[in-house]
This record gives sequence, structure tokens and C-alpha cells, in this order.
Amino acid sequence: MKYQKNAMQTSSPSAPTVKTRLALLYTMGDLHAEPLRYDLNCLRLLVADLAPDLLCVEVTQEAWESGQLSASGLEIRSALVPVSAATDIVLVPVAPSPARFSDYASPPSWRRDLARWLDLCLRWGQRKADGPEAIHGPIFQTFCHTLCTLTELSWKPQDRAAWEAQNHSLVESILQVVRRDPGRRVLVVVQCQRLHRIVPLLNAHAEELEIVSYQEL
Amino acid sequence: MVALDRARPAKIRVRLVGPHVLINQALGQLLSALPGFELAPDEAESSVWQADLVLLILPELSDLEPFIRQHPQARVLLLSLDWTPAEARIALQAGAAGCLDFDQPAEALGRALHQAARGEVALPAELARDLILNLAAGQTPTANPAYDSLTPRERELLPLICLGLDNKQIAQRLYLSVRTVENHLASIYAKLGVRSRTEAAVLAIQHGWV
Repeated sequence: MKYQKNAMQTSSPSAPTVKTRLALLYTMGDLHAEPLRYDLNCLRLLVADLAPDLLCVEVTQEAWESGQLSASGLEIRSALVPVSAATDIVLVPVAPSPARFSDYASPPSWRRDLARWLDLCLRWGQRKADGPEAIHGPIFQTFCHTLCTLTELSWKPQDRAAWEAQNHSLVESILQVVRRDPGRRVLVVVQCQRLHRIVPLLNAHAEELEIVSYQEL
Repeated sequence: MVALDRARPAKIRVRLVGPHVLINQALGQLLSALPGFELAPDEAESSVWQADLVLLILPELSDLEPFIRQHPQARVLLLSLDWTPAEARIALQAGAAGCLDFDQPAEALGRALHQAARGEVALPAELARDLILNLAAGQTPTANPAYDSLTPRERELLPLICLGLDNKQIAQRLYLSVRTVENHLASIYAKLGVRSRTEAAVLAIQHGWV
């Protein structure tokens, strides 16, 4: 029968391993609490169009497997999960814990005022970066990197350490995905504040994966 | 091979054939909203040939065989209600690529169409399970099983096949890509000497591997 013939023609899983192509897509989940929200339909269409084999998202495995996604970002619940459900894209939860950037607070002092001001600046920049190309462009990335680094400096040392540890664990989970199924097209969707933390960590594994822009995935 | 493997999938062209205009239009709108699909124009008979899949709504199952005789190249998926394993068997033996149920969400319909477009048989999970159990009750395997030659990952897949899960559901459970699951399945078929997931499931149930 035709379908059987086609099934037999696919390549063997023991074929030589090729480098995994991995792209990072940054989201601005913090803006969802504001009246002006970015277009989730744009995210939906973008991910559906990229059609990655594996879609790594900031959800814990426990939350994903129990279906309790209320603690996850709106962009995950309303855009990424429905796209995965309607297509062949396999969603992989990679978050080690539910904590997000905004969950880390500065101690009540001038540091908190500074963090609030930086947060306002970041949100202003996020609103100005109107569209995926702008968010992934060098200007916004430099701007985001600078503000996030300063914000992190305003946190308590233990919070900074926890944030750093969480990003290390997140990258470790992504590497497990790559090692479990090498040679696939992987899209990692994370909040933009993780950018300057996880890119250097992923770049250290150039022998296993090739980081490409989302347009080149 | 690698370049092909990494190419973004093209849109799947679906032609709707059914006796009710309203249902056809509603399904057409639904499919247009699902990512990865486009409707083949329905004004010309030739569009059946141009479509990747034909979604067919038939009042009578007996009309299926004449339709497939008329359009032997078409991959036909039947859409109906309350399938029994016997009806599904008749439809598949007549050459249908799958049996879909009206009583399912749009996402499940999208998944089933993707599955059929890849050349697999698309069946609702419960129907697949019932069909496999029916077949297992009366069928003797023709090939010599080679269970020991299966890799641990392939052994992990066997019970999931028997549960009637489709490739996407298996991939989602194991956090593997659908293509990798397809490759594992092809390897399982080759090692067990079977030609389909149904045969693999029958063999596994008959030999108590699952």
C-alpha cells in the first residue's frame, strides 16, 4: 500500500548525526499585563510558518504534563500551545522553575526605585520595538541587554544567583532536547530578558548546535 | 537528504467533497484557519487530482469504492460520525487513507490531515485501538518477529502504537520530533517484518510484548 511504501522510505534513525539548527525567539511577556499588548496572532503565525520540529518553551515539565499552565506566560497559553496542538510542532517544556524575570525583586531602597525606572524604560523600548525584526535587531538587543544587566545589579545577590542558576538549568534542558533528538530544527521561545544570559551559554556548545536567526531556521 | 529534511513543509492542499454546501463552507473556513493547509478550488473536477488530500463526506459507505475507482490517485479521508471498527475496516480496505469523526476538535482534524498527508493512516485513537484488537483476535502474523533487535527507544514506542496514538501524540509524549518518530517506526517495521503500525501492534499484542 502507498502509505507503507512512503513510511519505509524515511531515513534510518541511526543515520550520521548532523548539527542541530537552533533559533531563539524573544517574547515580551511583561507587556501582557498592560493595556497595550503585542499581537499574539503575529507570534502564532510566525511560529506556524517557521514550523520547527521542536519548540522549547518556558514551562516546567510538571506544569505541562498536568495541564496546569495558569502560571505560565500568556504568550505560551494563548499562542504557542494552540499552534503546537494544531500542527506537527512538538512542544517541549524546558523551564526548570516557573520564576520569570519580573518575579525577582530589588530590596526596598534606592535600588527598588532604580529597578522600577529601568523597568519603565524597558517597557518603553519593548513598545517601540514594533515587530519581530525589531525585537531581534541589534538596537533593541543592546538596549535590552544594558537595562537587564543594570536591573539584575539592583537585585539582592541571592536573587541574582538564583536567576543565573535558573538560566543555566534552562540551557541544560535545551541541550538535553538537542542531544535526545540531534539534527532537528529547534526553536526556543523565551522572554527577551534571558537573551544576554543564555546565548553565551548556548554558544559554548557549538559542536552540537548551530545558532541561527529565526528567519534562517 | 539533510537539505530536504530541514525544508519547511509546504502547505497541504485539501479538497472538500460533500453533499451539503453549508457543511462544506464551514469546513472550508475551519481548514483555512488551521496553519499549514490551503483549500483546493472546488469548481473543477481536476482539483481532486491536484489536491494532496480529499476530505470526503459520504452519506453511504458503499459510495466510497466508486469514488476511489474514479479517482485512484487521490488520498481520501472520510469524515463521518460514530465509526465502528467494521466500517473503518471496510473504508480502509476500499482504499481510504483514514476515517475521521465529526465529534472532534479542529486541532485533532488538523493533526489527522497532517498524518494522512505524510502517508499514514489517520484514525481516532479509540477507533484505532478497537480496530487493532479486532484484527489481533483473528490475524496470524506472517513475519518472524525480531523483538530483541529493537533498540530501547523503539521498544518504548511499541506500547504507544498499541494505544492507538498517532505520530504527533507519540512524539509529544517522548519529546521527540515527529520526523524522528517516523524514522523509528520505519525501523520497527523493517525489523519486525511488518508493513504498518496496525501490523506492528497486532504482533506486539499477540506476542505479549506490551
